Amino acid sequence: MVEGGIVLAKKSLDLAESSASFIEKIWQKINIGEPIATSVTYTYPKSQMKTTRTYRVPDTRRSLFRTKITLPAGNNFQIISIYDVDTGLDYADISVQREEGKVIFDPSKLPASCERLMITTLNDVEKTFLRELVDVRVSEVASREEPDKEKHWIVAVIKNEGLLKPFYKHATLEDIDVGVGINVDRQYSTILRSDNNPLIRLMRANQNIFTGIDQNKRSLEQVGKTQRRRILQEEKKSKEDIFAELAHLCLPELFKNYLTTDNPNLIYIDARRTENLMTFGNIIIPIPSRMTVTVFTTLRLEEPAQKGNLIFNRADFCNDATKIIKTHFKI
Amino acid sequence: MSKIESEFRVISKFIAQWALPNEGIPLFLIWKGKFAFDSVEIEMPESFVVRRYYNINKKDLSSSRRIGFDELKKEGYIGIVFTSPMLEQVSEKVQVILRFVKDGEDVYREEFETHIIRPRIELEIPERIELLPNEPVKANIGLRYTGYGNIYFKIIVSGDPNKLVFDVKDFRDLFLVMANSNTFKQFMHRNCIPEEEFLGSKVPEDQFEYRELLLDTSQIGEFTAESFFDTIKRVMDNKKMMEILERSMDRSEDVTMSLFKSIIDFVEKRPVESVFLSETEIKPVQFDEGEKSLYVCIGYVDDFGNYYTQTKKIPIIVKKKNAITFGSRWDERAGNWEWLKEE
Repeated sequence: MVEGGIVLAKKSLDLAESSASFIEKIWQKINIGEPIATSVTYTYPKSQMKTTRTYRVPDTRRSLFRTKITLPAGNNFQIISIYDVDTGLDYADISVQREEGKVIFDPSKLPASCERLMITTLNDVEKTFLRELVDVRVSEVASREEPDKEKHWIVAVIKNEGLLKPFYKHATLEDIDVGVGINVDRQYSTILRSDNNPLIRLMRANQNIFTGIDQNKRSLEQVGKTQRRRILQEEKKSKEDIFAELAHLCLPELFKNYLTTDNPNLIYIDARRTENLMTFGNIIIPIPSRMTVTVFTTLRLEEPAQKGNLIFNRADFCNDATKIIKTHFKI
Repeated sequence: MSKIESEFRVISKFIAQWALPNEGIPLFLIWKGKFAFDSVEIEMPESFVVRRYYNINKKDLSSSRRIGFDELKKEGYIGIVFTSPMLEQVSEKVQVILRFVKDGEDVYREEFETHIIRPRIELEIPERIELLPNEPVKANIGLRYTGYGNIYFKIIVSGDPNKLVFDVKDFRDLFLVMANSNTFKQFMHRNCIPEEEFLGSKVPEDQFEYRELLLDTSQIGEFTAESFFDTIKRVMDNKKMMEILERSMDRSEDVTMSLFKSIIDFVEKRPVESVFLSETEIKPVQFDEGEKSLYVCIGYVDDFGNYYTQTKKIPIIVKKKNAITFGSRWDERAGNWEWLKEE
């Protein structure tokens, strides 16, 4: 088992290294001068890497400008810009051609006078490679030092600097996503058990009915219709509506109102429902039992770690849910 | 020490302020300014284990608490992830110190503090039980949640210590798993049944004959995960499923009461906020005459998946063959997070 784990880890590292060396080989082919600045940006959601190299072009190299350079077009590789740094003009359109399976770079199309060139490339990278670069962690338990709030610590760090450092002076890992799970059903547990809750008061007031069902296993039909009507304001809204309204609170654009982070570098972006739905007894209700919140952050070689907290304002969520419940039931 | 202070500056430091046993606790220190040190010594309790290093090329794993200067990939940054062992009490304050050592002397030290936390159930049982003729006996088991985080809980009461087995009383839970499974959703999709229609509030407990369904299509003997999924597969291919679904939808004209019952059930399954029960009812246990013992076994899992278990024995004197029924009484004394505010 341990051995398997090691093999797996090695495989993903190998993959990571081959992914990093792909672009390195391309740069070796381009080799039109001395690189004076190098940088790389990995964009996590798109699984892309953008590399930029600025070259000083010595006169001795200009003879090389006559030969076309053929580059592999795998991994969606493309040269997106070739700037003459001094004039600010982009020569990518005229000097780069894409043919089936290859990208052809023709340096003879570049102005003979240019001294500094900035070339930017873009290509897809394996998700495994991106995961190999960083480690993200989120607390399993949400803290409650303020009863109204639940707090998760979040940390994202560069794990394998070795994969970046030899090649680039500047590296940016952009929009690294960190998933945080928020328990929705736990909130409902609080709402339903609170002493002020209309439902609980109602259940206490109608204890006979409920305990009757529970203990004697009487069929539901035996409970009088009038009693049922008394409890539920049937004329007002149907039961489906209450669930739809409660589920509404978990729509990403609304759910995010309950979330904040305490570090401006941890940007909360998205909330997603998990597949699991809440169950009340045997009834499965289309309300997610858990939400997955995605926090994005950016790391740099010179800023290799980010830390902070995601805060869920549970009191606001519980208040809003209680309001919905109250409009559906007589108190 | 004063010599380095002028050049040296901590940019960022972090330790996870709380974690469950075995959960990775990240720690990092980022600093600016060069200063001479031979190694960084990590001081933490013996039983803690360093699981991961960031920016460190560990040559010698046997000296896991010592990071040589030449093992740093890049100056100015140290990161580790470590774990704690299981914990007896519900929380423990732990200090971790990074000592930068030069020629055997500390040139700089940085102190970190974290809390290892866990949930705990305190079990309160009767000292002894006497089973008398013609008198129904009810034993109350007191359960108190203390500590931190959610737990997923199971309680088993048995007269025989070798038979502490989870008893699948009905197939309700199976049904829930089934209804949430992808196979089931595909089945619904194939038959053009909108998922919402089924997964909504329209299937009250007593009206959906999943028991019949499962029993009809298979003989469930030994209950294992494999046999369960086999059963589901068989059920999915069974046309009778459709009929039963249709029937249960027809009969669901009034679900108000079942909705209420379900809410009560939900509350019962969450006896206190942090506890989720997989079973709410404890089966009565039968006893023959004589001096016996009753075993109450609780098992629970925390948010990380650590498993905690506890078994208590109650002596019983049985005057006449009889059964004991059980009641459970819950309360909650959740751990406070005051120590977080102090920092």
